[in-house]
Amino acid sequence: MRKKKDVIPALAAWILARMIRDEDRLSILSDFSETYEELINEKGHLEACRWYWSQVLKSIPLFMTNILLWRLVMIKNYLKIGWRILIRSKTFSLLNITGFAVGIATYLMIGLYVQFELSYDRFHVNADRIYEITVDNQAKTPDVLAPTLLEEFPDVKAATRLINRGETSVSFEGRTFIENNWVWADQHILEVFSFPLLKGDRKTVMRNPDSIIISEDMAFKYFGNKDPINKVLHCSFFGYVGTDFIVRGVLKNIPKNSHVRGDFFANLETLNDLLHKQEDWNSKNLDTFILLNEGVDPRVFEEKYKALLESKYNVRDAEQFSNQRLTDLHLRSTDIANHFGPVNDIRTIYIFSAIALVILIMACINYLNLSTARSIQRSREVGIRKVAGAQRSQLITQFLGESLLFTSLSLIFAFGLTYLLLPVFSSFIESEGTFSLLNHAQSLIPLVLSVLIVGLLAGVYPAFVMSNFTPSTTLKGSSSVIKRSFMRNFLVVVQFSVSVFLIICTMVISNQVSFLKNKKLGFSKDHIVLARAIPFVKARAMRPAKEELLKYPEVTGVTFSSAYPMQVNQLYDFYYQNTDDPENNQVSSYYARVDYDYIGLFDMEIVKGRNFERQRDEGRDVLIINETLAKQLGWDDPIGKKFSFRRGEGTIIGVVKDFHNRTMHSKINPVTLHLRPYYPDLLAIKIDTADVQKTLAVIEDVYKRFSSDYPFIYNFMDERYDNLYKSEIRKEKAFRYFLGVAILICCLGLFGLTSFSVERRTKEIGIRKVLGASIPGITSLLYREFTKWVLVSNVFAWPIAYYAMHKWLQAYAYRVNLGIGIFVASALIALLIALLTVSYQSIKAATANPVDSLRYE
Amino acid sequence: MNIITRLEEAILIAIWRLEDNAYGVTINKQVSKSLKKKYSMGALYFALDQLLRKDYVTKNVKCFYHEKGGRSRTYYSLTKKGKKALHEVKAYQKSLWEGISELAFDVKDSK
Repeated sequence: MRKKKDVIPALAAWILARMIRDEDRLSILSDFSETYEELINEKGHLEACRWYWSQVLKSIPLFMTNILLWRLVMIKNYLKIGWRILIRSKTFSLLNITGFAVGIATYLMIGLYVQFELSYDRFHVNADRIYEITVDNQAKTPDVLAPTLLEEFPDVKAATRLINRGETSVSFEGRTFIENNWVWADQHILEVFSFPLLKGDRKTVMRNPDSIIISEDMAFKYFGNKDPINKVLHCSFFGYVGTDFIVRGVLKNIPKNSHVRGDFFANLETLNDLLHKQEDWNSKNLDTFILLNEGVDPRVFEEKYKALLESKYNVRDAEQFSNQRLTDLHLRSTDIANHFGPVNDIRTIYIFSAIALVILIMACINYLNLSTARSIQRSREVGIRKVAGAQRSQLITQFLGESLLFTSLSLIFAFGLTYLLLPVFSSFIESEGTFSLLNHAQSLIPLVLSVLIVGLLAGVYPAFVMSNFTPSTTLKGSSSVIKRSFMRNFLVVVQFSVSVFLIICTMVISNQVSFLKNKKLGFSKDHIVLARAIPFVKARAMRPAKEELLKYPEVTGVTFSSAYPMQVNQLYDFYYQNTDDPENNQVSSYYARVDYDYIGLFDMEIVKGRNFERQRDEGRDVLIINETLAKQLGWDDPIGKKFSFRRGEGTIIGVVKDFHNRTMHSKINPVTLHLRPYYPDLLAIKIDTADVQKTLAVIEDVYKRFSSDYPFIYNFMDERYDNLYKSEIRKEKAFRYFLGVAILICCLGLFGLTSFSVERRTKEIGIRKVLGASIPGITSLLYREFTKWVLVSNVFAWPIAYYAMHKWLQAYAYRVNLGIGIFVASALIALLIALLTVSYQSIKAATANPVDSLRYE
Repeated sequence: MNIITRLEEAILIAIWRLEDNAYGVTINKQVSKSLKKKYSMGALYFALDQLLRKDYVTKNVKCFYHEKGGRSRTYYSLTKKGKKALHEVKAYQKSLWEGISELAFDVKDSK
């Protein structure tokens, strides 16, 4: 009999047991207690107890290391098995990895794009305190607003006005370039925006009127490696005024994710001097940016300055002023027109993110689906492992490890794909950013992590299903372990719903785009070359230029104007004599200055009155209005009525048929065309020729004759028109790509599922054939299994697609109808794709010789 | 040649010597005796598992129900690979000592 005090120390034994693997636990504990008992006999209980404890404590680190080492051995084994399985079923692995990789690549690319768009303007030190002031949903504000605010309110720490007046020719030592990124700004610009200055003193750099800051790139372009500071640039604007600027500073190139961008920042005072401009509250063509002091509530401030503007400065539309957060400008200000920089719609970002996520999830669903379907083949492995003593947790670890292996492989493959596709993707995505994998390593980390997490999650379900097999069933050889799973059908439905949704979206978007491109506009845009009229304006030689150009038989018409018919977007106030209501005598209308040939050249139609005529209208201020304006005024006969406005007074002599003076997003607006043959600076030339290049050369020749230093830059009007819808066209392309990816993933998944379904039913098909089933009969049997679910998926896709597209089309005043045709067509397309995918496997199964499938029975 | 530690070498030799009776307690005693140093149980089992991972030894768990107090013991035996490793170690040590006569190396003289 053992005495009670001989019993081994329980706590020490418990600790010991925790540190040993299951299979060794019993024998090691026995070894310990054997030695313990020997020690009791030799040296007594106390000594033995001391020995036991010291052994346990001393051994802790080594036992722990040992366990880790055994884990490694097991992981090596899992990896080996995982790799063998990948290699053994090549088709399966290829399908799975391709689908997943394409999904990940799409996800990564969209992810990079979305991160870029969201990062706009966040780099400014005080980004949260910078506001742009807008008036009546226009970004353009009165000239004197910024100085007034700065003077009246201590809340405003700094303010700057910005304006980009377009092309500027810049010369240094005889070399001249045309620059588009020329910005006029106040001297406080660098106090508002924290663009880093490489050379020059931040505080004084813009102080003098002849100061200019240029970007790094421009410093290199004009001065090479020489020091640009204090060099003199000669600059001329609008073709006729010019002045010298001294380079006082060099800016680090402004990042692409900045709303305010420019290569040259020149002092605004100089511009006003050049134009002999009086600043007032009426002309609104500048952007105003302010930096508020810390702790100033922008809304309170807004109310304060509105009140002041109204009371002290008698600003008529003071109520319309509002603050717009700088960081909201890029994505959350689509309701504001005439932005300084590029804008995008946050909804586009949401849609793209959603699509990216859905595509990633679809790819995971594929993995999930195929792995579960395939688990039949591995049920025996699971059985054997269980019999050999594997625990469920070990099996789960194994299968999760496999999915990690699989995810990593797909990830590597996806990186390759992304690397190849990024240039293509960035070319059609609507973004200023250029993306490359290497430059965005930092932003890739969260994306890659999310992919790994999703990959692991996708592995969880198969891991649990597979580890749950009971060895007795699997080893008996029954193959029907996996029953027809609700889960799998559900997943097929999800995938096809996404595809149908994308098919509908793509069709609607491309319908709308072709509608935009082909709609009758009220003017013609074919065979018309557009260019700036600057050399002619400069030489004050519009008429001789016109005559010169018309000498060539290829040129059938020439017109000068201030706006092309598709972009009449300057809004003016007009006053007229209203006999009924003398108070209500003002109307807003879009306005363009044109010459005699404008209406004729663009094939616009006069519905009332007459066109401008050289004999009758020379020297007179005459106007032609459009139908919308005529209707708005409610005049039975507008001919002969008078309008007075900022540029004088004019008589209406005709009414032109409505034309789309702005994009299709807005309804046709009231438009007034003003005869001003010798001022406008845009040129349109109608040509009629087979050899376009030769004609362009001829025009360029004439152009150069009037001004040798201004380059001939031209567009074709139809291209310029398409450019208005650049974002739609790009969106269409993007959707086509997404659709392609979604369908590819869908097909791969369906293909995999069919092949396993066929495998599972080999014997059934064999027996059916032996009993006389026909090949079409068996094929349709397999078709039926999947087509049902494809059809069901339409039920989910249609309402969502209808809602989304209805919303999208709302942005257009002129739009296509959402007919039932598109929905039916999308369903048919999805069905066709599904049938084609299933065909290969099912025909193969149906034509197989039953002898092969039945001989083992 | 695979490098094995002095402890591992001693364990392999102990298992060889003990033949059918090589389990934790006996191996520990044998090793302590031959190396004249007490090793902790942890060190011993760690080394044994290392040898197991290298395929130098195999183990065989035996459960006793009535004899020996109802204990279970893991008996170890050498594999072919283990025996070969022992031979290699021996040959290696021999080659190390080659050419040095016992007389030239007198411990007492060098003091």
